[in-house]
Amino acid sequence: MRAILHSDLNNFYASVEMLRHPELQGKPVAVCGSHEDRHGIVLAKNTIAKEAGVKTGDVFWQAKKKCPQIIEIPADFSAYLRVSKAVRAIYERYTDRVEAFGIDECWLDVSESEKMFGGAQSIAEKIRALVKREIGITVSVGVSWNKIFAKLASDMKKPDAVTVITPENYRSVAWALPVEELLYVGPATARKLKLRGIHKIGQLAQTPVGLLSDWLGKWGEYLHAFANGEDQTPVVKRGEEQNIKSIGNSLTNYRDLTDPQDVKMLLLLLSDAVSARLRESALGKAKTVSVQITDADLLRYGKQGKMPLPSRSATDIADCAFRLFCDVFPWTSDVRALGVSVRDFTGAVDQMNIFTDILSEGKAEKLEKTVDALRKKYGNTILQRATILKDARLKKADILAEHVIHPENFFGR
Amino acid sequence: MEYEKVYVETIVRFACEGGMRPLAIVWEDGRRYEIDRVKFAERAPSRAPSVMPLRYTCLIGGTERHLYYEEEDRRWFVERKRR
Repeated sequence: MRAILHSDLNNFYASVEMLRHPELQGKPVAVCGSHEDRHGIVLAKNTIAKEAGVKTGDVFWQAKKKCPQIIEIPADFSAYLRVSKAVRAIYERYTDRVEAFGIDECWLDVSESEKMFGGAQSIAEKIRALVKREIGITVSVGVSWNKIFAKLASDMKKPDAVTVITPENYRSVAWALPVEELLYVGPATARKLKLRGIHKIGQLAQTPVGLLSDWLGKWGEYLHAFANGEDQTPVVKRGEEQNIKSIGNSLTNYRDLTDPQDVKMLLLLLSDAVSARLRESALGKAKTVSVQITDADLLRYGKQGKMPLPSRSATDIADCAFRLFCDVFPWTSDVRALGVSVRDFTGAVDQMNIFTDILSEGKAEKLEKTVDALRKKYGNTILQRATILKDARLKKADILAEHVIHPENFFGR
Repeated sequence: MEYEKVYVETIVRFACEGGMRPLAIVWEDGRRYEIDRVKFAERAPSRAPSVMPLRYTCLIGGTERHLYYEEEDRRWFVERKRR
């Protein structure tokens, strides 16, 4: 049996900010994107703000309404990345098999090393104590024999705690939890399961696989295995940077957008930034585009779709995003925020395709690379799309520099 | 209790075999304090505002003092109770 740990840095961004601002101890704090031009969206909050009902993804003024004394701190991703790497170095004292899951979570496979350090639970306790002593922030560690239960365990007791799920106790511990606590059970799946009377992980585990795959397709089988502790996925040695599932940029415009032309313009601006980041990475081309829209009533819409062919050109991404936007947005209210992201990367090796005109594609690629080079040298606003020049304030927006890291649950949860 | 950080001028020796050791600090008023011994050097949080400093536990004139090093901007500081 394997010995897997899942370590989760508690309120990560907010905890790092508390190191920098110890005078804020005991006060509600929210870490926000840049506040100018209304981008101030809550990216993280400390426990006190959480108790007041502040949620990740709230616009800052919403958070302020829920919790008037709340203090806003601008996000500093380079500091978070530095701390995240230092914590990882602590994990690596116990095993070389560390898999990052986002910036603040990691799985550790200690099967080979647990005998050297007195067992998995003892390693978990040591890690918990070391992170607190050396860095000054807290972690919750889950211990189990598979990745799914280890993650489940780390979510059970927070902050600064170790929770163990064993083959002896999982029926009483894990099975008593609501299904949505299980990794990969999102809001949609949870709704489907609850409609069929499945509320607890235990009920999911005891539902026949056949039924589950009828309801949920291949995910039914996976979830059944997960709920029974039969997950076999290995802990892959992987860094924060390689673990990119999507690249996205979003912007809350300084004014609400009222017509499709404006939306098209902003989508192009965002796609430009996404495509530049995609070209900079080694991820190749993307197959899927998704848009997220928040309207003036703060209702959220989202849709994803595949591009006709994998691409990393800004125009292709923007065209697809605009099509998705037209499909999903009912225009009952004006558009406040827009986000574009791409996923399903093809990897560094390019697949040739008989339908594309390689010459013109090569030309477009060359052009965009040149634009990238110019922007790198003279700043992101040196070359701009003509459509964007119509709006003097938007012209100044420097999306690429502003949103270096895009939290995956930005709009969703 | 709130602490503030006071950056101090620090005389440091970099050994041939690697590593560094603070030898003395120069206080705000220009007085120089010799460090008799470094008892521990480890990563540890400070009570003053700082992200991941290195903490040197030093003996200065018979008393134990914490001297912190910030790798990011390569500066040394001590913590002081805010009055």
